[in-house]
Amino acid sequence: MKITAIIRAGLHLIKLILNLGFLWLTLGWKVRKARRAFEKELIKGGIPKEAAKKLGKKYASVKDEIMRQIRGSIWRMRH
Amino acid sequence: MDEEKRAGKSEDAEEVREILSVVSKEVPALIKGIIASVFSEEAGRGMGKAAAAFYKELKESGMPDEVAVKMTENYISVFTSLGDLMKKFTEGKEKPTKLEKEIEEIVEEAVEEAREKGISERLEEEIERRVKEKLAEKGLLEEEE
Repeated sequence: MKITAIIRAGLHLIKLILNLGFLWLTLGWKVRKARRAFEKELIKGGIPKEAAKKLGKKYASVKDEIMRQIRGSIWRMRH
Repeated sequence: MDEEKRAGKSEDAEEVREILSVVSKEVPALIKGIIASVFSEEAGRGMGKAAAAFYKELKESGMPDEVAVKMTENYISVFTSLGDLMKKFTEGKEKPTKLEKEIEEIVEEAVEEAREKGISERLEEEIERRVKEKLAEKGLLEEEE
């Protein structure tokens, strides 16, 4: 009974890690897709292409900021 | 006694399994939802439309191109300030300012001195006097600037 519970807990943990890993891997792709859609709408609205690219970069920078904060939090937890 | 311990440990393992079962379902779904609300194609399109409409209004009101782009950038930074928000959460309490540190030192000095001299009656007055002096000093410095 106990061993079964431990094995099942382990499987849930593996499932959690795999799901989080998948989310992390697909995050970059999702950000790129969202950024392209964002820039397309900006250009459609009359914003110059260069300016739209600059704004798109700012939009995508949120992801980098979030990853930096998560890494920082993990580092602070360890030390 | 041994059987009771074993039963207890079994229950703990079962509890952990249940917790992990819920966590493994809910946490990825939660994170996926948060990511989708900011970084989906739909969200990007919506934000682009909003920013473009903002820019259009600025241009129609006669704003130069550079200024309109800069203001649109500031408008977008409202959404991108999520990073700053997280920073505040993870860094926790703000560090004390220089003035706060100086006041703390003054209070500690006054308390130490009073303890040595065995005076506790005028302690409060003494602390108040020194803090006022420090604040006045700061006030004078600000006026000069």
